[in-house]
Amino acid sequence: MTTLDDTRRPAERLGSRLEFETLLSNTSASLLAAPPDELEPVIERALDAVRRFFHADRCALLSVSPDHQAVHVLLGAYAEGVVPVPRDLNLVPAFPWSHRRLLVERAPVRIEALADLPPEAAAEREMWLQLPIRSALTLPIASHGVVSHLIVLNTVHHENQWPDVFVPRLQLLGELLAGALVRQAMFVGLRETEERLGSGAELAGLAYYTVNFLTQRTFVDDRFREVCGVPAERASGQGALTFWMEQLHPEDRPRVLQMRDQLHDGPLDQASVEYRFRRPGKGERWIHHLARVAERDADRRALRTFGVLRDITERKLAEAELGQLGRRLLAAHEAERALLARELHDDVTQRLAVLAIDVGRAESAAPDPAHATAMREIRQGLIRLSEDVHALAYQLHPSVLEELGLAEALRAECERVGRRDPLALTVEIDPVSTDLGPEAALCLFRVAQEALSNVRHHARARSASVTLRPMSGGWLLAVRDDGFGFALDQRASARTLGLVSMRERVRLVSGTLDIESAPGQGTTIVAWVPSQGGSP
Amino acid sequence: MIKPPVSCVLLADRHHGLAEGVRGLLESAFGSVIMVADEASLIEGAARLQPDVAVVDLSLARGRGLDWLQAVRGRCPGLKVVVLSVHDEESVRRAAMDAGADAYVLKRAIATDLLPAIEAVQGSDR
Repeated sequence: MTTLDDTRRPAERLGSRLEFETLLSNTSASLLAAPPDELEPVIERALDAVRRFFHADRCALLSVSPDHQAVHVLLGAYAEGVVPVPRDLNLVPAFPWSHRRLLVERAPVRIEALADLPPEAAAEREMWLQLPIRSALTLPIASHGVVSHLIVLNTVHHENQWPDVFVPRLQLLGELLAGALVRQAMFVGLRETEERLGSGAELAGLAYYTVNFLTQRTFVDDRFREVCGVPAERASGQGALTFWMEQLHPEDRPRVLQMRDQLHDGPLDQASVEYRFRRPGKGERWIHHLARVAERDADRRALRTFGVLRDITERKLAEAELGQLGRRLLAAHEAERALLARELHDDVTQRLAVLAIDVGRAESAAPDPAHATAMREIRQGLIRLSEDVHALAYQLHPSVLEELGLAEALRAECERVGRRDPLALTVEIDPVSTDLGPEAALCLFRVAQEALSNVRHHARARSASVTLRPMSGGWLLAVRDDGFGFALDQRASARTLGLVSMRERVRLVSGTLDIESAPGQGTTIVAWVPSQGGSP
Repeated sequence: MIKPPVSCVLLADRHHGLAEGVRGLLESAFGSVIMVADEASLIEGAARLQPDVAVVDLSLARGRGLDWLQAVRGRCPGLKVVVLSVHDEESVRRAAMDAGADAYVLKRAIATDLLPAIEAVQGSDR
């Protein structure tokens, strides 16, 4: 098992920092991708990934009441067999000293052993023994200048070091999680408004219509005519309704009309649908449409229906912007990694090579064997340093991807995996033509890398295969293993976090990702991306 | 033994500092060392100067793979090409050799490996 203490080699320390960066970016991608009602499992997975990273037994996000008098566990991740902290326990009176530091002084609280608790913290010693806690790190998370959340890590069985270097990054992660919760609250508020609309409590501002199939009469109000842009000559009820039908976006029309049929002939009594609408004078608009059946005949056919419409184009734009944000975030993150890797290769590595040449010369020209030996040792040290720098640069970004393309990059990755693990790895890669865009190539590489990392860390597989071949205007990557497999609905594991970010990456280049797995059946991950996916 | 100092070597690396270092090393063994920093100059230099050996950075043409290797091979079938690279993966070495390189030397090992590699390819007949 690796530890996070500061005595390791710099390359290893940088390696775990990079691992944490990856965790951060995976988390932000999953948070952005998660629908509001699936946010909590995503946050729990992120907390679990953080817990594993620090080799801790508990990791929780705590909520702080506005008056700072109450702190409760909001969401938590726990190691197997570790007792969760009860959600109804107010932690402020239980840990008075810690919370004064966290909430008043806004300082992190880091306790590496029970003995480190100062005398003035005697009141919370009892809680440490009771829960138990052997070591802990707690950080305040502020939003808009107020401490709104805390993020806490505990160990139960061992004393842990909490390296300084991770504190600001962990705080950033906490801010991401807290920010996502704020966004969720906003969406829930929005949905409640929509539900109230549905119940008819807030009809003002909505376009309204009724259809009576018995009398063949249709009524539309002025706002309906305004939202749909109904021309004057078709302003009457039936004319307005057929106009609405004509102006539905052709791609959405079948879906909308199918829903309308289901409403008219059963089984639906109420329908809620969003669609695009070509409104004269305003272009393409997004409409949210709620329709209900007021009365049916003996054959369950609708006799009277009514509904409300409203223009939700602004909200749709905001949602699209959020997707764009995810894409930009990922692109910025990858660009930063590529830049760092290039810097290492183009500058540091080259300078090290020059130094090795110079020392090699000095070695040949050494006046005596003792000098020559000293020079050789320096040269060998430089070589090892170069190896570390190359490994680090590779971990950041595989420059072989730009230099030789996806096929070679995948072969190199498989080779690296094979160096570390006794895994029988089969690689079948068709020569990749140049039509594969750089974003799509990087996406497939990252998917393969993540999939192989899952195989190494979780699958306990004996063999695995990586295949890449052209298919329907794009490229198909498959990574199979003969390991444990897992139930697809299994949520609380770090590997699903990886799967979420894989899916998000593929979605951003307009591709598709399929995962086939079942306990004992091995796992297959199949990603397809269009050749020019993601390129402008 | 390396050939007498009449022989000529073409050195192509866009990293100026390293190219200078390698030139120092090569000048001890070759009559003339000509440095170029891009793909086009490499291909033109190889055709015009007819060097015995070209020492070329793998990443010379960033983003265009090993096309330069095929181009140089096409123009100068007798030229020996030694590829310099930072990549220590066997698969990368094999890709370079398959594309027509005569030798593959890791940049970190230039001090000890480059001259022996040149000597070996000069002695071999393709």
